[in-house]
Amino acid sequence: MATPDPDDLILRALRGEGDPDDPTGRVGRALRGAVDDDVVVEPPPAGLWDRIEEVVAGDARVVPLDRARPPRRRAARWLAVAAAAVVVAVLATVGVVATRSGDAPSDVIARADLEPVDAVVAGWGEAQLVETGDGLALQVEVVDLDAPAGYLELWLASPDVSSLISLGPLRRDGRYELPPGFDPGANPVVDVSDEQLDGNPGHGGVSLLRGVLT
Amino acid sequence: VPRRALETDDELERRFGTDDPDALRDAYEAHGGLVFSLCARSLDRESAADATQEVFVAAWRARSRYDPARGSLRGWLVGIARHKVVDALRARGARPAPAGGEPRDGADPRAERPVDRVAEQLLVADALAQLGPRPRAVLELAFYSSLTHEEIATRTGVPLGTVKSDIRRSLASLRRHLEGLDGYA
Repeated sequence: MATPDPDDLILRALRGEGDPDDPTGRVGRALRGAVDDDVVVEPPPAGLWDRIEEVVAGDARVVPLDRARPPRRRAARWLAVAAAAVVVAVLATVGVVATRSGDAPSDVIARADLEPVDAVVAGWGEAQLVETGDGLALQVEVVDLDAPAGYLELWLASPDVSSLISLGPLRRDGRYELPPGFDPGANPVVDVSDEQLDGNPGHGGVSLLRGVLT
Repeated sequence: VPRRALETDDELERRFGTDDPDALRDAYEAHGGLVFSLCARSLDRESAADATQEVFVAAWRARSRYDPARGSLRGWLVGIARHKVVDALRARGARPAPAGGEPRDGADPRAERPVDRVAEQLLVADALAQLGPRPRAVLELAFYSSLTHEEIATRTGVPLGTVKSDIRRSLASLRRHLEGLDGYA
């Protein structure tokens, strides 16, 4: 009786009589909470899968990087890449290529993984440069990223980050139309910064995520 | 006993990291309700549907980052959902206060805590429901009563050794779901 039985210790932890941060204690707390709060799992609304499938089918248009070498002269060759993307998309999605409701079809012509600049920052993201038919747009998805100072702002920068162009606060839809004539080839660095609401329009100097469009 | 022996969705977890497009649909069919239910606890139903859509799109785009060795797919999806709910709440202006600072107007720095708690509760409740009837009955008595192993065995008619192994194996499975939840960071 001197040595506690391991199974008894498990029961005690499960019932919240042990270390609350113990993994078993955590399971027990969540289980008891689920019963007490009467949590219920309900089915998702009808039609939701179709919306998801539509967005994901649009993703299938992404040209794998090894097949889409970034050309030096953009205009003409990007069209060729875009055409190749359509072929890839048709093959990949077996003829079912849906686009987002209301949007013109768009093709991804470059992309960037957005990685934390500082190892202590969580979060990551992805940026896609897309040809919308009306011009270029940047489609940005950022996940799990806090803005300790206030809000997140999106920038495009030159390779040495000496020139920065603000695209504005991070939008929920992640969609940014680029101004006509804007040259992403000269500003391939995608930067997400942490900004204070201080009225200063410049870059606050704190970059959280960064990636290079290729 | 391998920790994943109780999982019925091993195969789905393995497929999810590949480019198999059916894997996302299967994941949605298996866990869409769980994800939606978590979102609907904090958001109105329309926003919850939008958030659920974002969760599965984000999961698909990040599929190469999912590692079954670090936790369950179910938990990983709930981890994404937790972040999407927090993002949606913030987008409404309920921004958390900066660390160490005064809370901003109308912002409760603890406002996000219930999301974490509900995420854990829904995750384990859903996982509990997936256990077989016997392990589930045994585990319910283990966490929600003060019965000893012997008393649980008597109450359920399950042999004592089976009661103990059921509890251990079920707990290993539930812990793995919580690890999946933590793994999305």
